[in-house]
Amino acid sequence: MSEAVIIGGVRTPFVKAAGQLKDTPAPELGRLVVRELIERYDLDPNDVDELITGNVASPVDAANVSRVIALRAGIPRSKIAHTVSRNCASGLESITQAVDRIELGHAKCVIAVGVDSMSNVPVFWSKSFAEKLFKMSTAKGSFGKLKALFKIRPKDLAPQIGLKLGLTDPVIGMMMGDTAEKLARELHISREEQDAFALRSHQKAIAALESGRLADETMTIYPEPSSDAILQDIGPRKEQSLEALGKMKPYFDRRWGSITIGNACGVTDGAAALLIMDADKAKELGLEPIGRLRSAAFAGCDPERMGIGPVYSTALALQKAGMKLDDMDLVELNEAFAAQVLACTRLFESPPENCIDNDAAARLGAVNPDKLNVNGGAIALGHPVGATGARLVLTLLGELRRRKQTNGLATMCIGGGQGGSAIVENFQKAA
Amino acid sequence: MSATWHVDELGDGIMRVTINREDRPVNSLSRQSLEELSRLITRINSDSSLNGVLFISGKPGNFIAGADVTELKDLQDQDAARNISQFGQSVFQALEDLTVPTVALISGACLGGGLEFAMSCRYRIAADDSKTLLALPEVQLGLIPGWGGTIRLPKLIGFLNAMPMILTGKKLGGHQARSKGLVHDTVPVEALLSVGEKIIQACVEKGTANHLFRKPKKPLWLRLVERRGVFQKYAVNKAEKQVLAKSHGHYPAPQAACEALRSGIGRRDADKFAIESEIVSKLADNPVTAECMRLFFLQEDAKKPPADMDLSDVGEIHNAAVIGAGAMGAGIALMLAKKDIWTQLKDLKPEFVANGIKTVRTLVGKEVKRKRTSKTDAQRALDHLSPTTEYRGLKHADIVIEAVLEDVEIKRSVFRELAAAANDKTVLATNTSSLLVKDIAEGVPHPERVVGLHFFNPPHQMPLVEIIHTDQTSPEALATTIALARRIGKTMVVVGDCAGFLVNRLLAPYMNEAGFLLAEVASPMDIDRAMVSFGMPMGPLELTDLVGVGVAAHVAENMHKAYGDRMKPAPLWNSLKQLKAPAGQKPKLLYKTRKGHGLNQEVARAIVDLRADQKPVTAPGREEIIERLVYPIINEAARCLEEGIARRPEDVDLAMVFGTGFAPFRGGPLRYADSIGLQKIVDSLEAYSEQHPHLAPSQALKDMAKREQPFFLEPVQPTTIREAALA
Repeated sequence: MSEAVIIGGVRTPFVKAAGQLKDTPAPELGRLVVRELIERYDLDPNDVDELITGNVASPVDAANVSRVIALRAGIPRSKIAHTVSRNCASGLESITQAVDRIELGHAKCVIAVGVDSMSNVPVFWSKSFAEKLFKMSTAKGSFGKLKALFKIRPKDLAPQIGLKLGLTDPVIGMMMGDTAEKLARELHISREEQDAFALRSHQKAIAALESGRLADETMTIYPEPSSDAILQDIGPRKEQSLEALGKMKPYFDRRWGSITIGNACGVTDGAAALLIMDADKAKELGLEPIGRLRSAAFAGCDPERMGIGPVYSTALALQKAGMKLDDMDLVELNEAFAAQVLACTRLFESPPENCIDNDAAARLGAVNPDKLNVNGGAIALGHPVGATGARLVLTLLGELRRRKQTNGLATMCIGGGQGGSAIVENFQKAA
Repeated sequence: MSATWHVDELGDGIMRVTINREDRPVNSLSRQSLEELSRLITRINSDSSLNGVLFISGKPGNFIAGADVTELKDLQDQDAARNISQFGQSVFQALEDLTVPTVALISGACLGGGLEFAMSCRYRIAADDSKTLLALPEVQLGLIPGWGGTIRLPKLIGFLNAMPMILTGKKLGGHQARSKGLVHDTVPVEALLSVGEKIIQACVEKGTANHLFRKPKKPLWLRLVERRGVFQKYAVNKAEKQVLAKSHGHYPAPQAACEALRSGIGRRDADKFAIESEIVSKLADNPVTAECMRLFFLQEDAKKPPADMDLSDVGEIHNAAVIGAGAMGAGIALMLAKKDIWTQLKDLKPEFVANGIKTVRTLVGKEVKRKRTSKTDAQRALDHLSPTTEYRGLKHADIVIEAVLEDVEIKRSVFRELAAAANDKTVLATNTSSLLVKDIAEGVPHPERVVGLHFFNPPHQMPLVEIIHTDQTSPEALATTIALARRIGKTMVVVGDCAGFLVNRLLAPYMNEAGFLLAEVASPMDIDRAMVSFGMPMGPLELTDLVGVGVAAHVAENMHKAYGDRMKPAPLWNSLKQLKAPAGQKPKLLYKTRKGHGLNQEVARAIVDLRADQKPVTAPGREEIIERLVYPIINEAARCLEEGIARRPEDVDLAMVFGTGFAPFRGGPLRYADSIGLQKIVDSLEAYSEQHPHLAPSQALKDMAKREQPFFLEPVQPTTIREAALA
């Protein structure tokens, strides 16, 4: 079997939705990172066999957004591209699929992309309004059309916010935040604990930005309409304080809840891409790999407690790799909600009974807080849903390299009740 | 004898005529092909089994590009011109008079005589692609449409729509042509034939196919007013004024076109046709027409690689980079990106890059707004452009164009960095305007790949590029650069490496002499007026202001260093180096006043000071001004030819016309020199040099005059000021 290695990666700065990237839709974000990869690694686009893109919000004007990105970034027309969705882990899914495609010998070089422009999630008309509009267009004669027009009632005109729909689990009828509230209540995670965690995320992210630790993985972009350069993530707040976090009103359970906008991840735009190759192909092209996936696993769990998905998938991934959580030098656990991260760390320590099997559960254990999300996480940086999985792997590999360490875990919860985990190995030691 | 019109039967009595000139890559109408068409029409008339005729091109991207230009060249006497005009008119009239329906299925360029042909068919269907263009560009060649175009076009699309097409050669795309009513419909190119068949079937069944098409929308009042002779006369007169303001009366064709339209108002068609061919014949032997045509052919040639260069080995250019994101760099990068070349735009700092990207987006946005580019094409261009602050991704670059500050040290360091980042074969081009290419190439590994590629500002609008080779430049590097210039549609001249290259070297004595004259002429504005009347787009003082007084003085010093005392800066430039400007403005010699331009007061004072130091001279008149400004250009050009900086005299004319706007109707400085006579120029220069030694004629020019050798073999008629205007 061929071995798949990661050559490198790059991402755009993450920018809060409706901010500077509001006029940069997902296909453009994807094009930017893919083009940057090609130029950074001096690739001949003919060497790229396929492009796999993880994306959740599915732009209505780009049905297979991966193909649109590939063509616009100069990947030859004869190459292939497909889009994958595993909700919040779509970016991770694109990486695992790329690795699979290479290891099964279907491809030698794949670019795995994760992208979402949450600014550009459309607002829909209600179904009843759409039906009435359709009737009007098929009605015969001006009188018929007029009659159909009068059937439209004010309530038909209420818009359906696509973003809100997307963040609601249709099976259980709960918003993502509601599932986090459930975990907070059940595991007794206090508001103070959550806010303290959120503050740490901002502080770590600010420290990372100020020291330039994230500069390598972040490309400079010049988005429309201003064309002004964006050099780094816009999200981490230097002036964030516990007091300010404490003042925020709960967003989901407005009266008794503990989840606020402050201790949850922001709605964000961004893209990330990784260049993944067959090890021999990399050698042939003279490219030095930075690392590889040791194992990856997805696991299902209760949709109402989707936040603890990482517990299950991590147990499985560790089992596959024959490793223990303690072997990990660094852990990137996506911060969808502070409550959800804290729930995971508790359950890593004492795994639930239904956790895969006894062998797998035994591989979990306490996570050293000094190893967890050392450069901050989605609470500070934001969570452009489809892109985050790719960012976690990218950031993790970069930090392992800086620390001259080897093993890392990237894991995330997935809306709908799943968890995704990838164990990466860093090849290169920083000079 | 090679045929143009190829006939076959499609069944149901439909005749297909495929237009395919076997002897040319492009369809055009020669006298012979008109005769062939005439015979074809007779045949159609005598064939009672025919239901209809379809005309379609056998050449992709080209319907009929117009009259055969090689024959136009020889049309320099009035009778021959009248004759061919009348012959074309009669053939197209016969085509129009056919009883069976005829359909022109237009795809690609349908220009001049081609459009006049199509307008004589009963139906016109155009392809909806971007290659399909309809226009009557005759004015640009110094002619007017001579085969009924001035009559049929207003009939089809109305007087108001027809005027800009006839007077300025305005082009219409397929969709525009449809909305104006010039074609009946637009369809995808592959549907042309089947739609043509359906039209003829409809004609068989109902006698007409008009019910298949929507009429173009035009307000009723306009339709009524437009037909009134009074209104038409008013419109033509107004248009003529605009045309005159632009041409300063140097170009007879647009005025003649106005005349053709005006004289025809209210007349019968037969009279209009007679007027048309009469005016064509008058234009034919006008020297300006000859020069316009000559330049047109020169430019067409200059868009192709020089005949002695072989580009067959040059691979397609896929990747490029432009270093320096200023207005120049950004403009160049956009031109490349528009031609699907993956282009990086690099500058030192993100702010500079951001400015470059802004420039590009503004340019593209304007094109989209003016509907010159579709949104899809605009996005495609922008997709091909990557902003960056680093040298990377250059291993696959075919060419890199440097457009950074004009400083030899900065440029050298850029080239060293580029040499390290690119591969050994990547062509490294510099867009310098004042430095020597060989100086920049110094110390660069593989200097054989260094060339000069000098664009003019603004690069996307100025048609000319100078391609500069050093003694080391390899044929491959030169070929790649030429291939690039060709790809982006530039008119190119290949020149040797010297200070100022060709254009700025020839312009330098002209600009400098303006400085000498400024101190002598009674009214400084006379200098600019004299040169505009000569046919320059603007006078030398206004041009100096456009370039910037400081820059002009700096260039003058550089030229002095390179060429010695014959380019010694005028004393006035020295005293004006510190010319101050009101806050936020550029220092200028001339300031806009209500009447036009007024001299900067500070400059006026400097002139008074200068005059006090010098012994008084008689103020030169208009003729002397022109001679002292233009002859030095000719003088320097003779040197350039002798030194091999310019390869041929045609290059000098092309470069000056398209690089500086040198009076095109005079054919360029050397064509003008031939019309004056070299001996006369030498004599005048010698006379001037008694007082102004820097004006002495060069040995090269004197030798040519002595041998009575003109620059060109083709004879030339003198074009003097304003005589070109039609009486």
